[in-house]
Amino acid sequence: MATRLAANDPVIERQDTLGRPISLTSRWTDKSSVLFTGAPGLGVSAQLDNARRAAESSGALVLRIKASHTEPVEHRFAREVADRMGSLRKSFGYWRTRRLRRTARALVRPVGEKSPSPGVRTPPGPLGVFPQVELRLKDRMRLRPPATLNDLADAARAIAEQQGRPAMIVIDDVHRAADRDLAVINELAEHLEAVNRESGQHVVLVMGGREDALDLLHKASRGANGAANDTGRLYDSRQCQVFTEPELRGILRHQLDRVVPPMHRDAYCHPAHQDAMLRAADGNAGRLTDIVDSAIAASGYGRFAIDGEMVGRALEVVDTDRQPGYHSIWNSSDPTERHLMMLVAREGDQGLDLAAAARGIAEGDMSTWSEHDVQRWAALDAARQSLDGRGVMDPSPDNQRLVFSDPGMRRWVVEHNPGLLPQPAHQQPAVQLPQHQQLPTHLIPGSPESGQPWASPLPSWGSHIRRPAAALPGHGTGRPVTPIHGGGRPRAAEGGYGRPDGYPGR
Amino acid sequence: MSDLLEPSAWTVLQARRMARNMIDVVDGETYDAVEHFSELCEHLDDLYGGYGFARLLEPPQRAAVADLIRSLRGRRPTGIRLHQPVNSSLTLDQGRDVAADLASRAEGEEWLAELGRAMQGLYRYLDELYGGPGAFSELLDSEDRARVAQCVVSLTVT
Repeated sequence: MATRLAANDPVIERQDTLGRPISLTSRWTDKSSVLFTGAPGLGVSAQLDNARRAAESSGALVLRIKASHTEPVEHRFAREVADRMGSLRKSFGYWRTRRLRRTARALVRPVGEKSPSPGVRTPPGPLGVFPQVELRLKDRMRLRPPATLNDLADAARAIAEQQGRPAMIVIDDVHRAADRDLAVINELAEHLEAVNRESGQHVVLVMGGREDALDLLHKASRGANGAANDTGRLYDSRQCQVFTEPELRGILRHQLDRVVPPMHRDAYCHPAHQDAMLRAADGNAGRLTDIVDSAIAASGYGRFAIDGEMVGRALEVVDTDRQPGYHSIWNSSDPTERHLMMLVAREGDQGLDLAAAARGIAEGDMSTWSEHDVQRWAALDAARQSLDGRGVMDPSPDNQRLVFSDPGMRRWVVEHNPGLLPQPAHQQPAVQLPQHQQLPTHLIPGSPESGQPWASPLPSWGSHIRRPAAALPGHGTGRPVTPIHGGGRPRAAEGGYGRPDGYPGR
Repeated sequence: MSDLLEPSAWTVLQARRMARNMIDVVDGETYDAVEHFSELCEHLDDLYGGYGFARLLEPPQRAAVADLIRSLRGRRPTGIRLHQPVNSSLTLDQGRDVAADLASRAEGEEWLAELGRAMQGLYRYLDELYGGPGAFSELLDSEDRARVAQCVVSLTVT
């Protein structure tokens, strides 16, 4: 069950905001590198799966890894090649894969390792009579530099040229890569662009990551030659939007059809229960899959029909399982980010109206604001960017409102911040955060201690207000902007990258 | 078929869901542990074929899979297969240590201790599929995983 695609699973065609298909199988690109972005559960990895499946079914070479901030990408590619060498040899032959195998081994070779020069070694003779003799052509060691991802791509290119089909290098979870790895990926993309321009498109780089992946790649490219400030040219970026209702319904039906034949689908799960699960998914395929999986498990994998109680329990279980995640997000957020989360949570499912919120800080255009107002805005904007980058919040499709990516997080914030919403006197929140985790009451807008009416200092990104350049990382105007973090974890510059050499030693 | 990853109280689906939910909000060694758990599950996805690893096989089915894996491992000497999943920063030995470490946590976040127990359950299950306690010391390569998947699909299709 789970979320895995089976070989005969149908592919859901996704579209971008302009109505163009984003799948590589539907719309190819003249660029050598494609980057799919989107929040968790919006089908980014599924796009990579589809691309990989299509390439492999045509007989092309595909190497796929997931990036991590705790291990260099080269190590993972080395293991990927080693893991698949048996099948690669069968597909492409021993001699064609020889260079790929050697390059993959060299990816993990320590810098400065030396090897003996070529020589001849006599076979061992009878013990103590003829000692083994080793003859060397030169009396010095050769320096063997480690290989790079560019070398691996060249080795893949050699196979692709012989096969007549482009090879594919796939990297998932790019947003989790350390800065050093992001720079390596930029170099690879630049290398592929240059080589493919000369000799045709033989190797393509396909990547997936969260919404801030392109920003992170851009940030990592600064100061590097070639790729510097040019990530927009290098990558064909395609965003996975929130799933539409028909798309989600297709996923739901397909999941149910794994358990019962399509003709019994509605008898197994009544259409009203299907609708309830679709509504609860909030446009997130990952969440829908979790809910349906739980309901199917509750039904004994098809032994009983899914009833309303099973659906209700599935929703409860899925929400409960997300609670530790919400708690961690809250704990890892600074006071300004918590403040913003409460502002948005207070507004309900429709989210925070940015235009109305902008009027709360000051009247008129931002250029007329006082320095104090600008600083208040800058702090909140940094919080907005950080939460957006961590996948906690998203702008609405019309860019006018700020909403939680996961509505469960909004409910959690409301539940754990008493007084955020007006409640009848007899109602108390079920669980209260420890005192040290609660926001000071003077920061809660509208609370008696705050001494101020509810008003957000957040400006709008709407067309009537100019978006300051400082809002984009890499285009600073000197105002404080918090770097976007993937998943709230430290990046390389903050000491987050711990094992640059060799396989991880613990 | 059973669902529980004993000694954990979590089912396979629940444990995988938790790992998926938490991987974006954890850091450092905890991140490595969650990632390692997810990678072991993906290894089992490959061994299961079809829609992947969602439930545990029945004991007779496990024995049949263990026979096949034993024969596959016997064809080639040990030491040439991977001892670390492609997308994990931990080796299999390190993963066992981390699982025991997490499971024995007396304080802190309860979900993490439960994940440690689920990881221990996963190792036990993999040991069983590989032929006995401690047998899961290396990963079958992609070719052999495909053979095992054929076997599992034939065992589980009713």
